[in-house]
Amino acid sequence: MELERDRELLDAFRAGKRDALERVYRAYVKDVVAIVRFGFTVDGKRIPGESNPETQLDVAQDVFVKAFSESGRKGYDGVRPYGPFIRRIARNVLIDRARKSGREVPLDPDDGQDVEDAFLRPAEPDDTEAALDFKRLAEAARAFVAAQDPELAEFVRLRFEEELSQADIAARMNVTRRRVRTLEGRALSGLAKWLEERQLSW
Amino acid sequence: MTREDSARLARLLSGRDEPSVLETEALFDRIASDVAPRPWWRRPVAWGALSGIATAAAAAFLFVALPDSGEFGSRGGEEAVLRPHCVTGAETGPCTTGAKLLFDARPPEGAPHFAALAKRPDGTFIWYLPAPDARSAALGAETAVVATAIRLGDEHPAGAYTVFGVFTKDAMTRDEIEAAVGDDLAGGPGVTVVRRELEVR
Repeated sequence: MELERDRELLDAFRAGKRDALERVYRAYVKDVVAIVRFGFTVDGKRIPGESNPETQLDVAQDVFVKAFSESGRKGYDGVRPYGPFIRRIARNVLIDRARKSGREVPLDPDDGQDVEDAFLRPAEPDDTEAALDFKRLAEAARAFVAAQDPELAEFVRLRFEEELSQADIAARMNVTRRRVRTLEGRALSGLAKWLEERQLSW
Repeated sequence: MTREDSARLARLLSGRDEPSVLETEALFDRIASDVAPRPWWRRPVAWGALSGIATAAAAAFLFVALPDSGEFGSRGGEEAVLRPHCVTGAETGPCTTGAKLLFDARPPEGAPHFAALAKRPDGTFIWYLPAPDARSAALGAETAVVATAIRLGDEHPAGAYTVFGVFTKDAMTRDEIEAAVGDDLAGGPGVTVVRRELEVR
């Protein structure tokens, strides 16, 4: 999705059309959440991310509300790539939060300074108890999916791994939206039952 | 299953301990509701009286359902039925503060999911169904009382109301229903809007 190269999408985005906002959101939500989660460095000075999952989403919401507000939409020139534009907003939101917490931070992270988003660096192994617990449960989830019929397994791949919308999955699998919702319910409730039967606390 | 349960399970199914597609989609709904241009009929919004808590208002407004006028018939689905009425205790009667507002409804063919909202005399809209984080529920094919009752409170002052029943093919959230009915509340393909007038004396 290249907003700057799609004039129709750009016009709809600038008009605040929901479909256009959602397309742009889906294209950049991962980057924004990653910046919010892991932080970044500017001229070697680290601006930390947010560790609390709920706070991460709240901050990501702030970023997109700024970017998608009328002033935010009009502030994008439509010529340069949108990714750097929204990533800069994300960094500025983190900087505002850092300043409010009393941390000394640079005035502007993108004015000729050396900026590096932490999530772009190779991830360090996470051997915390929570990470190991998640890994163990995720392996059980994979076993659950492997035991399902091909339709449900394909749905899980499209919905939770590729993160397609229900509408896109309905089109891809040539089924109704109602069928997609049924599959989603089966996947979630089935996994819960699978874990509970194996006495795995999730 | 709670929303938090679903989010946790979705993360496990993705194999990544980061916000899942369910969480990011819910987040977009929040963002869109903050920034998307509002249709005129949605400004401002008063929450529906879904708390189930009777309001101890001193004044008891009379809330009377008028017969179908014909002026506000259904559009796109002549078979849709919507009859708002009130009960106090187990008795049908005038709608007063503390009474329950009920809907007799029958969906048109092909649009079984039901939503309801009302326009107050001051122009403010009140959402009744679905609940803020829910999707509209499907009704049976025959005319029946919708399971959810609305306890009338202070958010229902005296005056003339218009109640809107929205019947859709798919289960929808409030945001999706707003988009589907359009700024003129006229509905569209697969969306039938039925209007009924009510008067609070």
